[in-house]
Amino acid sequence: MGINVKRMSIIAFGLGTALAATAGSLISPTYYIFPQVGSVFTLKAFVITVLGGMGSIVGATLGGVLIGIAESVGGVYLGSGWKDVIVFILFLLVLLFKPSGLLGTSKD
Amino acid sequence: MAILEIKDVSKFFGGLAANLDVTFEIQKGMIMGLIGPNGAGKTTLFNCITGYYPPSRGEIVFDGRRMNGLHPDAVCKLGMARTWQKVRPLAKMTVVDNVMVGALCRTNSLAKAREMAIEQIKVVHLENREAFQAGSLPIGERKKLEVARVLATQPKLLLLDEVMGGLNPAESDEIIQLILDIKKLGITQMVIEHDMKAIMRISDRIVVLNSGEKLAEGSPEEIVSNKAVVHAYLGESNA
Amino acid sequence: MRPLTNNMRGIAAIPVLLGLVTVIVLFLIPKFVHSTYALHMMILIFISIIMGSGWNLLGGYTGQYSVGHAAYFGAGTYTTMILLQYHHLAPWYGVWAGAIMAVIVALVIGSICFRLRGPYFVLASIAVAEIFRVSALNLKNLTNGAEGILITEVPPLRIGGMVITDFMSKVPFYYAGLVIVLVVILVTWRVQNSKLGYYFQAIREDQDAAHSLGINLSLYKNIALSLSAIFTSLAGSLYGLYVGFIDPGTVLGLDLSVQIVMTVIIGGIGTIFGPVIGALVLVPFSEALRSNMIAQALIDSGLVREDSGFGVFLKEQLSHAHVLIYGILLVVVIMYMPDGVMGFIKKLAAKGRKVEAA
Repeated sequence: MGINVKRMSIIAFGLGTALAATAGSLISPTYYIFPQVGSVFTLKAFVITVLGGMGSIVGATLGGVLIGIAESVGGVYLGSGWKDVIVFILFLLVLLFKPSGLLGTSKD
Repeated sequence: MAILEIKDVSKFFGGLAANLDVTFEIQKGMIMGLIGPNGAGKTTLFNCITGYYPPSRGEIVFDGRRMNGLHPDAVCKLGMARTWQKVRPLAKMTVVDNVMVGALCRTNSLAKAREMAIEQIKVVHLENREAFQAGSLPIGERKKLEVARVLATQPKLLLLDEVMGGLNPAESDEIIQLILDIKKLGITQMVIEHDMKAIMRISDRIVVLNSGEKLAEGSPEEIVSNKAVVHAYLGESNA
Repeated sequence: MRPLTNNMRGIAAIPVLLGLVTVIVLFLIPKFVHSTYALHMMILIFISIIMGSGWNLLGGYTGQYSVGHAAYFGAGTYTTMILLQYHHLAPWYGVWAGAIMAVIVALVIGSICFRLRGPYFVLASIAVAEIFRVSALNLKNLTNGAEGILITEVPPLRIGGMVITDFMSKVPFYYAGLVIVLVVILVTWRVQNSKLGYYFQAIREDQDAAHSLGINLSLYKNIALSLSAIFTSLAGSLYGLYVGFIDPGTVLGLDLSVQIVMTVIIGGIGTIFGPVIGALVLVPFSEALRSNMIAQALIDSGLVREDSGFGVFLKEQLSHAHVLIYGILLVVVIMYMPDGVMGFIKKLAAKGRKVEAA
């Protein structure tokens, strides 16, 4: 329909990577950096996207903020070892009850 | 004796009434046609009847038994089976295997299931395709496969959802003959179809839905001369 | 349109004979091969086959692509190790306790995840496994947290008054692994040719169609999951007892879950021998990378000079690259051989037959 799908995919992929890289450089002063440092964030990125709603940029932002708060608050009350579990449980709840996320444009 | 009773069945999706107070009966052994413009709620009704989702209101009684809330697998085991508007072959499995899955509803033995499957494959005339992967079949044969598969579950009532959709006239004729053959086997059928000629040929009675509500019910001759029905269809084609 | 033939289903005489010969040879290997490294490799391959076959039942046949199977591996091995080390329960009872634990874990996970489809199921399976891993890290009283569990002695296996083995050498682990592999393959074969197998595959192909054909989705998914969890937990228990040490990162980690999936994808999803081939490809390959064998071979062959910048780089870094190479291999397989090695072989066989008929 006149849209070069492949090229759009590539551009989207590239933009996404650039943003992630920016995020990475922003936290590097306060975070221990080592080659596997990315893996923790892979799953968190998914969680944030699903929570915010796939297809919504505002949603992703909102999701990021919510997850950040949930993590910190959870960490305070349950100890830093468990803060990741809070995020994952939140994730499962979203998947089960509102898979389209808070602001998602669901095509289901 | 009514094999299926639909009493005031309604289905709401949010604020939208996909079905509203639909009521009719199907007698054992007959072929009931279900027609209506696109979006009239025909497939929704099928989905409610077969347990894909429960009706919001109303009762569905099959063979004297209330069916509301039963899951699709229970519905099938009780003797009501359906085909899909958009064909759903088990693509990576062979034709025989597909039909065997249906037959395994009635037996635990693979050998018996295979026998039953081959029998049904003969009924739909797909013998030469037995070992072919279901996903590789053309649309006409996929439709036949789906009928064979569902026949293998030994249904008392068969619900066919636009089984002639996308077929050429020759293929449609084959399906019409198939439906009449199935009737001879004593299986009751409800057929959703857009092909008017076909519906007129095969139906004993017809229910017409429009915008979720039952517009009319009667013999083919009564329906064809019903002004409201004609208007519903003509009105749609003007849009 | 080509007809599929049932060559995997019927039993022709030749494959059965070959299979029997292979099994006999495998049983005799420890008598003639004394290299502990070879035995070590075989044991790792066996473990990989067992957990791959476990995953295959749920993922390959039933189409539920879990990327959190480490949860069952870890449940099995932690149960076995905790019971052995802290409660002195012999491992031949412990592994069954591990399997039971894994099934309980599986049913819990299933009740959450089976409501979801496609990518959502995958994500949920990852999240659940991670919850288990972090829990294992934190519940230090139970699991000793990040320090892991180290077993200090395995009781000798006695039957009657006779000591069969004291588990000091690798040989008993080899035989344990071999037996479990044979059981797992047999079970997979029996499942494939049974009502269970048909129903599993129907669920994989089209869940809603399967539902409408009288298949109780919840029941069959959970059966597949339970079988899958049992096998994976046996692999885990064997691993723990063999290596002697486990910790949450190794046995409950995402890396392990991904490795299990990759093994089966590369070998051929939904086939009996897919996990076998996947294991035969990946395990030696990753061991070779990890132990610097490949780098050394490149240098020895003269292709690369040892003191060149490239040579030094290879020697130091190639072992860490095994993950990178896994990834490349996975991409290649998905692009050119989406049905894995087994799928590729089947296609070749079908083409060969077509040429004959022509």
